[in-house]
Amino acid sequence: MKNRLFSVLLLISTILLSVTVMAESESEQDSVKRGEYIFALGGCASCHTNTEGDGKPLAGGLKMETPFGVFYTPNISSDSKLGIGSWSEQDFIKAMRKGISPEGDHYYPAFPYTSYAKMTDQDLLDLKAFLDVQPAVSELSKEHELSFPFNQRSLMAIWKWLNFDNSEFKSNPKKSTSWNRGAYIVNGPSHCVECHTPRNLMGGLDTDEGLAGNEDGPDGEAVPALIASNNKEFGDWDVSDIIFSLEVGMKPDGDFLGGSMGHVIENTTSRLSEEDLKAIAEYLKSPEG
Amino acid sequence: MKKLLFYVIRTLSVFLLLSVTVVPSWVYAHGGATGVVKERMDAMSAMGDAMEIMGDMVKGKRPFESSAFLEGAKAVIDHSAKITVLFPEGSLSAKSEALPKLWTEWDQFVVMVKRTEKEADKLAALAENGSDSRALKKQFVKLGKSCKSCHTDYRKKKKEEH
Ligand code: HEC
Ligand code: HEC
Ligand code: HEC
Repeated sequence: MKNRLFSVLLLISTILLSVTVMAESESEQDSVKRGEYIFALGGCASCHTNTEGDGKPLAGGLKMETPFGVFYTPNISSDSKLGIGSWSEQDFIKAMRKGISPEGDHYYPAFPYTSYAKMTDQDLLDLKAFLDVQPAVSELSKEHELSFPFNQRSLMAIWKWLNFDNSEFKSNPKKSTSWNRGAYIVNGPSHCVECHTPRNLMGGLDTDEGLAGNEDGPDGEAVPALIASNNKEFGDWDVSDIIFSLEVGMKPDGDFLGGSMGHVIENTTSRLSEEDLKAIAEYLKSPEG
Repeated sequence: MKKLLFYVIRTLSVFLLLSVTVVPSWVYAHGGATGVVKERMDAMSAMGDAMEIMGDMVKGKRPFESSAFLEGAKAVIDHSAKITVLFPEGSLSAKSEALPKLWTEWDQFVVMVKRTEKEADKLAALAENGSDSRALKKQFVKLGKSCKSCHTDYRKKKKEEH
């Protein structure tokens, strides 16, 4: 009798256990799926996959030339030694939101954590869940080639103090849900501001001039303004023109976008939902955008 | 009188000499490089005009006509056939937005030209067969991606001269 009771209890607990495990793996899969979308939203592949150099996904190695020297993007694959596979959720959130490594070092703002800082916990955790299940690549990250004093990471503490606003994203209650979604995407995960907003002498974003364009963008590329006052032509685009340019790359006059925006379209905006593209367009068309 | 004649001849010959050495090289720099850069910009713009009309139909800003897709695709085929010739090695100028690496990666550049031609061929064939607007739109987007890909790799926006 005792034995019977024991086996029934065992059976029940096994069922309960497998149900919770199933539920967990299901919600984990949901998280991975959402994370794949966040990965596109964040454009991580534009920098951490060196497509031109035939690099493996997420293995880094993309060369970024800046006035301060040459940066090479690191390996962020799930390799536990040479990638970020051994990082905890907290390590990841701290890197993305504070620009601080698990060892406590400061990151350079060539890594746009300056925008990712606006991302929600949920988005970051989903993103991590997605990254965790990507293939591990055991390739060593390349050292940056920076001149003195820029090779001193500790200096970034001062830079951050002067230029880094790590406050979280605040939605504007006077605006629609869609407008706020657009504001979140442009200023947060999709970091459109990193290229479309001019920079001060220290390379920080000139936040008074949001989306006012940058004639001398990275690598000598001119980045147009996304506000009507600085780009009359763009001011005449309607919502469908903006969406079409982000989906396909075509401007209303039949010309096609390219350069670094081509990568943004390829890795980010062509992969977004119609709803999110509308949200971006609504935000960009509004005077606050 | 003789002196004056001598003076005139000397002045003329100096002028001639100058015109031989200085003027032609100026003509060359101007007419040569700027010429072909302008020619390819015109060819690209003509493709842009064709894409604009079709794009407006895809966006629903103009009534849909499949004949316009046949015409537009043919314009792209005609102009893209000339592209490689319009990028002779080293043809750059202050106005040009072409990246010099297109000449070190010439084979890849040619592949991209061919891709645009091929996608435009397909669009023309679909329009000719009387395909529905969905099929035409889908192929139009593919053609557009081929323009965007080349602009991503081989063109870089320059600031406008003020
Ligand atoms: C504009 C280019 C760029 C984009 C886009 C970008 N990164 Fe990075 N990332 C970098 C650079 C450069 C570094 C190195 C920074 C340093 O060494 O201080 C870096 C560093 C990192 C690190 C730290 C790695 C380590 O080994 O310490 C992580 C994690 C990371 N990025 C994740 C991401 C994720 C996730 C995304 C997408 C949401 C992303 N990055 C998008 C350029 C980029
Ligand atoms: C890595 C830098 C970079 C990022 C990030 C970036 N852009 Fe761009 N953007 C550019 C450049 C460069 C151009 C000009 C490209 C061209 O004309 O070929 C451009 C052009 C555009 C244009 C066309 C404007 C015009 O007047 O021609 C729009 C619209 C646009 N970007 C929207 C966005 C949005 C929305 C985001 C964020 C999802 C974004 N961009 C992120 C660099 C960037
Ligand atoms: C194989 C590469 C390639 C392909 C394919 C290509 N382009 Fe271009 N395009 C360029 C380059 C390079 C430039 C810059 C030329 C310059 O400034 O010297 C350019 C410039 C342009 C311009 C600007 C011209 C001007 O007046 O400055 C337009 C418009 C344009 N392309 C439209 C298109 C369209 C539309 C397509 C597709 C149907 C297309 N291009 C396909 C390489 C390409």
